[in-house]
Amino acid sequence: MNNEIEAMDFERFLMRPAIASDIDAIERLANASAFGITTLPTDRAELQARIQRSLQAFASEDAPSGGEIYLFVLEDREVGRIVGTSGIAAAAGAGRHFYSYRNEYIVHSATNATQTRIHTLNLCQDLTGATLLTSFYIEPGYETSVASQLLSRGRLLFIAQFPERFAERIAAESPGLADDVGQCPFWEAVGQRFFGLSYPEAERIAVGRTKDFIGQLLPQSPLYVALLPQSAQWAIGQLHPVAELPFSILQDEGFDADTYVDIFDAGPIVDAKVAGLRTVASSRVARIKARAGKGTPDRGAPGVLHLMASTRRDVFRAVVGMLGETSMDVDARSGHRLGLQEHGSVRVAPIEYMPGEGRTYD
Amino acid sequence: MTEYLVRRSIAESEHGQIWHLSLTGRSGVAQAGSLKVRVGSNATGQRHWFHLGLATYGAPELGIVRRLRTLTLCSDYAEAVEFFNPDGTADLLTILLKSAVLWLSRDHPGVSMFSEHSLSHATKSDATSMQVVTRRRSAFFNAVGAHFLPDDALALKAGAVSWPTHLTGLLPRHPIFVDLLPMEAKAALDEAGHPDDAWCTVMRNEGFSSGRAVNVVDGEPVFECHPNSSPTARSAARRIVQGVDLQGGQPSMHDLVLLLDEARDEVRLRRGTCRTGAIELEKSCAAGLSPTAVWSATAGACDWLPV
Repeated sequence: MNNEIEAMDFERFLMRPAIASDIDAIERLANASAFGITTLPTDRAELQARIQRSLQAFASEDAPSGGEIYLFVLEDREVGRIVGTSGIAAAAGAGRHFYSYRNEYIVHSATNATQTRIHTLNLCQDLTGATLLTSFYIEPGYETSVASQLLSRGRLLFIAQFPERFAERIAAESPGLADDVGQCPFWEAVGQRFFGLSYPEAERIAVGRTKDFIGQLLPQSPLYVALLPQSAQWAIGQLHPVAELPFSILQDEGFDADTYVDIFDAGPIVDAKVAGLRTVASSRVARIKARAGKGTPDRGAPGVLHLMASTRRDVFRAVVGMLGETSMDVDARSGHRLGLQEHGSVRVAPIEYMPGEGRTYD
Repeated sequence: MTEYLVRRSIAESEHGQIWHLSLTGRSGVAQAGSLKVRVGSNATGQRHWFHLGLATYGAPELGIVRRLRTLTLCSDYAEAVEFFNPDGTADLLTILLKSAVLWLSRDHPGVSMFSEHSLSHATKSDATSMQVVTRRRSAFFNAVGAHFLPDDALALKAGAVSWPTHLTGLLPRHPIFVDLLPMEAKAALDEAGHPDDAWCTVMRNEGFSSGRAVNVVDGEPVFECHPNSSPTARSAARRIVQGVDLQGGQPSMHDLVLLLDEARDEVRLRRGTCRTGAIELEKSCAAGLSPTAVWSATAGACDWLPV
């Protein structure tokens, strides 16, 4: 698939909520991404339940409880198949606890003015209740296309459109260093000592379970990083190679990657204020016009690449399209791809995308 | 007959009262040994150790229970009397330690005692063992102390009369999990004194035990003893001296006793038997001793020492 997709061939992609008939495709993607989607179970029945829960969240008219999860898929309509997933958990910890290690520094001073600065990891629940971006996976052949931007940032348009259903703070976990057989240097040095379990076993019991056991098994006092083996120290905040793309997208959005790490593999947990994210802050609602205003380009004409999303939760759709540099309106062609008629409202946000790099630039 | 005599000189210092005990044994060959004792809370008020503890974590729903060893900064011995700089053979160190305990029983009854096992106490003839101990000490310092303390902390500790208090603020305030440390550092903690070390043996015989705390710089084990565990402290009391005239053919007394001559502030070791309220000595040994009651304590059977 690599290099087969034209970088600017964006009209073929559609992001939408996962539905029951997507189960085969989602199961295939979940199994293909052992490290990429730790929040998606590989068990088919659990996946079906996850999809149902997501559909309820999209459709519900009830006030949000914080326990909602939203699961999206990315369609390549040209080949007629699903090539990626992404998700949102409305509130990390879902009303219970969400644990992470917070990087902190303690300064010790001697009376002769000698000072030492000690790096510590503190078990915390700072991110409990924050909205959590989850389940990102895109087939390798699509990584460098604009599709990855749509799949990741489309979630932010959804959040921007329905802020009452999400927290003001947002976070995302990224897998840390581990090899294919489950050897994880940070886990071997830290978690294994407290849990008495191998990394794969710990991952298995962590999925689909409340995280209360973490608070029971991990110490509340800080861990002195300098006292850990070198291999564990190096792993703190390091990304698994499969996570580089989604991580870079989030960094470009303005997420901070220096404060929190995962308690299992010490992979970075990025966090931010929703309102400060580039896509959210730059988004606005536009109208579909059959004859869009001056400056709305035809396909291939000069313009600004935009994320575009419908403003109805139950039939949410997101695509990538072009807006003229001075246009306030979305053309009917893009509206049609979103399933909307003329005069429908669309939330749009510009993306600056350099073809072939799989990431955006300031 | 060999006569063992322990003398005490007392110096007041900013670190508390320092007793310098020196022992002389007079027979055909002169023997000597010494031991220092630090008394008073000022001595250790700013000093810290790592308490070796155990933390238990459990997740009942998963059937997981974990017990992990911890090092936590403590001042457990701030009020205790410290023995340091022991010098001499095991026999001589035994007499010195027992003499010190006898003095403490009179002057500071009930006070706890401790001593850090130090490299300088190890058997110097065993070069290989010394190297092993040195390596373990360095491993512990490199794994823990080096991240908090200056590079010269090991040297500072070795050369200082007391803990360099200006470094106290640099010590870690939160528990350190032993299981997270490198193997060599853990091995240093597991070493409860060198088995060939005379001072360790002497302390153990006197009721000292280790395993509850270690030095913050190099992980050296702390040996501690409550008076209730010390045979000398338990038997220490003021007693009347009674001379016993052994008849011809009657075997000599088999036990040793410590006698504190308060007028001279000396402790002597004699054959004798401690009884309630009285101490029996062979008449020849009782000669010259104060007719009033003296502080005394048992020192075990006499087969360990030629008296």
